[in-house]
Amino acid sequence: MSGSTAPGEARARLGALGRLLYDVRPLTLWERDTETLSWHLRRYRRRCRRFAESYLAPRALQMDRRPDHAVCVELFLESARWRFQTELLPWPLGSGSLKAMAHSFLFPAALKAEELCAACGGLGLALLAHDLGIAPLFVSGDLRAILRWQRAIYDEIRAGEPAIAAFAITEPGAGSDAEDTEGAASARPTTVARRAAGGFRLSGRKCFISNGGIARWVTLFAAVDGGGFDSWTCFLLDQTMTGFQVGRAERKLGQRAADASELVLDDVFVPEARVIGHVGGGWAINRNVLNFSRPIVGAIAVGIARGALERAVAFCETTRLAARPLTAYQDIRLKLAEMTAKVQAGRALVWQAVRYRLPFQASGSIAKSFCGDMAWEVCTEAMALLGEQGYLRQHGVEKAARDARLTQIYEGTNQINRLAVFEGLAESDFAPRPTRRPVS
Amino acid sequence: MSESWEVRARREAVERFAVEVVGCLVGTEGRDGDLTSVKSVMFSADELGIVASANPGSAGYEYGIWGTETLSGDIGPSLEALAIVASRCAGIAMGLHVAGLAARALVAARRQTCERAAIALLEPPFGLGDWTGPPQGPLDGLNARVSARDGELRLRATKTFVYAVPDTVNLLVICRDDSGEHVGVLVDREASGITRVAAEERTGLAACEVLSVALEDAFIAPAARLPAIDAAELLALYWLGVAAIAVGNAVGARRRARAYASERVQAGVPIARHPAVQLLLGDADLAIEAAAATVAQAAAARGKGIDMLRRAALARAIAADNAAHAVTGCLQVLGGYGYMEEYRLEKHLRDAVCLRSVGGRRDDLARFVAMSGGEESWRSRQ
Repeated sequence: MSGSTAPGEARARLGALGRLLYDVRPLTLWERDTETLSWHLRRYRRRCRRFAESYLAPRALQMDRRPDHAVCVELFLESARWRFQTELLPWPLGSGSLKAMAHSFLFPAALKAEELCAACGGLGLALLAHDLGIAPLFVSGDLRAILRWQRAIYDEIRAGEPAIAAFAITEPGAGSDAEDTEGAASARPTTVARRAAGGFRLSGRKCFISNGGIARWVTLFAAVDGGGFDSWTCFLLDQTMTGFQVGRAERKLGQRAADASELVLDDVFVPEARVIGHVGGGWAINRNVLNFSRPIVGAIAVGIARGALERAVAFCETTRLAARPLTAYQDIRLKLAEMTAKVQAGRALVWQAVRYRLPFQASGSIAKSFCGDMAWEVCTEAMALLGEQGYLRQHGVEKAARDARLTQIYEGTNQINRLAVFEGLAESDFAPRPTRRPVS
Repeated sequence: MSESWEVRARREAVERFAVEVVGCLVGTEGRDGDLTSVKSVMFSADELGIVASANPGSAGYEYGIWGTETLSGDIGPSLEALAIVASRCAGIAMGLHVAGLAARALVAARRQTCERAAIALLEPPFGLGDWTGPPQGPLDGLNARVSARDGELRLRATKTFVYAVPDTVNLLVICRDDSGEHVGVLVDREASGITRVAAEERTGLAACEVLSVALEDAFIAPAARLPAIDAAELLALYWLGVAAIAVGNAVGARRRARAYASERVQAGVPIARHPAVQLLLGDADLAIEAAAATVAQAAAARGKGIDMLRRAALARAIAADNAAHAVTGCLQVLGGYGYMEEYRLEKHLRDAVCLRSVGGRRDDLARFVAMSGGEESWRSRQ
């Protein structure tokens, strides 16, 4: 018997049922993965991709060269018109889908993060950091905070206002302490709140705050009356408050389009009504916000890695070596396949993490740390695949590598996250087992 | 065997140059420091005899980086000097490397000159031209040609990623002549067809210029042609220098990470006492030591009948990969601060990821290594 051994043609030699069971459709993995989603999430994923390719990808390299706050604000407003900035509440209070949220609160957020960051890690972060700033209001479970403040912020956004929110926990010299049980137990927060008539007076500094320089609203954590992290309380600040200042903007290795600024508080009066949750409830809010945000960082990493992979594939298709495209060479095919498998593994892990009805510490930290490392590996492999061309800005691959490196650091370094995995499972998977009696 | 006072004195001179001159350039301001002072750094390097020159009256003629001592003697001191400078700035080290190597090639060709040159050896797309794998080796793929036509010399060459310092006057373009031998041709750096990739358009090695050469039947004065050049040795030394720079760059990152780890306190103790940080620093140590040993072994193999090109390919591939692994671990020690420009770990990382590709892709080097022997390293230990 003769004929082609290619899968597509070999399939033709099967009977009808055999052909039905043998899928050789030339669909991208992206399309195949999308097919596995519910109708609503399929539509949502495609909409995210359209937005990212239309608005973020064309600005990615320029914003990496010269970050511009005005462009970030403009993109925030555009993304709000696409209903991407009011999704942490369902309609009619926000633009989230109740059906999707009931199924899995974080799934849409993970899809959005991957698509935005595949186009540009920096602009993706700039747009996603708003949800992080809003998250404490929601995660606090404080209906007053949700119905009064979150709703008000969403109303401003729907009215076309750039009511951007930021999340402020990190302090100079206490980055990891704010993200780790052991570190927090012995550290002394330097941003403090003193009780005053009708509210609190806040002093101190926060650093590396994503969108700090452009945010109108900031959910900020401070220790009350000289206490430790256990006294941490969440406050909702706005930039018009007297004594609130934006300090210097950081110059970063990557994700440069996203602002990271210092916030300086000089005896800022915050009324009682701006306390989110209870006084002393900030540490719990912070930890649970991290549970919600870490799988999303995993999705950011997957997106960045996918972007680098797509650019590497495009390079290999158009670059010729000894008159043949690079994709004709076995070693290149091996490398591209390996990178694809890594991205796919990362996505599978993130989707698994966000399928839980509610996120929890171990799953979020596993997704974040695994995907952060994976993204760095894939991006640097993509750079190596392009040879010295890989470090030229024009190809966008080195930018992806620089962007990816931050996913191993923010929302707790990957080391802190691995410790969080153990802590999260200490009373279940890692709990001491009863000693077996020796067989007599 | 204890080292001689001359070797110690030379090392101390290079260390002083690295700290006092190169360290000032890097500083803490700007993405890569004060790049406008690269020329004055190179001037100091000449004055102090840090780098070789093709001028017999210059301070570095014999004992500078790639000075005449390396023509017949030990290349270890040159590699060590490159590593020391790279621990402060890999871009400057790369500039010294190519300038010294070009001077060495000129001296070997009995050409005396005070003008700085850079080596234009590698070709697109990945440095090794059309080379797609063994049998003969990476030099097979290089296509540049110089030919005599009607009593004139014509040069046809496309070279990419030619590293040079700003005061470079000539490029030493390596090509084949009509008989198939590798020769060098000196081309004015300002000649049409030579373009520059701006530093801000590259990830790292910003202190060093990157040039592209596209010459199509360019007329060359007969005097610009140098006699036969050992291109295999040149490529081997080029790879070894890059490997040494990668190791030095990682050593610099480790120095910064250790300093930070002993100062930054978490949970009441310096983070250097936390196992998570010890693992990061220890992994960096393992990677750096393995890389340094590979480079040293390759350098020691010179002149012992061992395939130098293969050893150099091994060293470049291992050292650059290990060094990048070490640097990213060191950056992690600093957490968010490591990601910010002023702490300079991110500069070490940008340089490290560039060095992984300088002179060829790791996978190309691995395939060359796989097909060019393998028993020799065992034999050399017998």
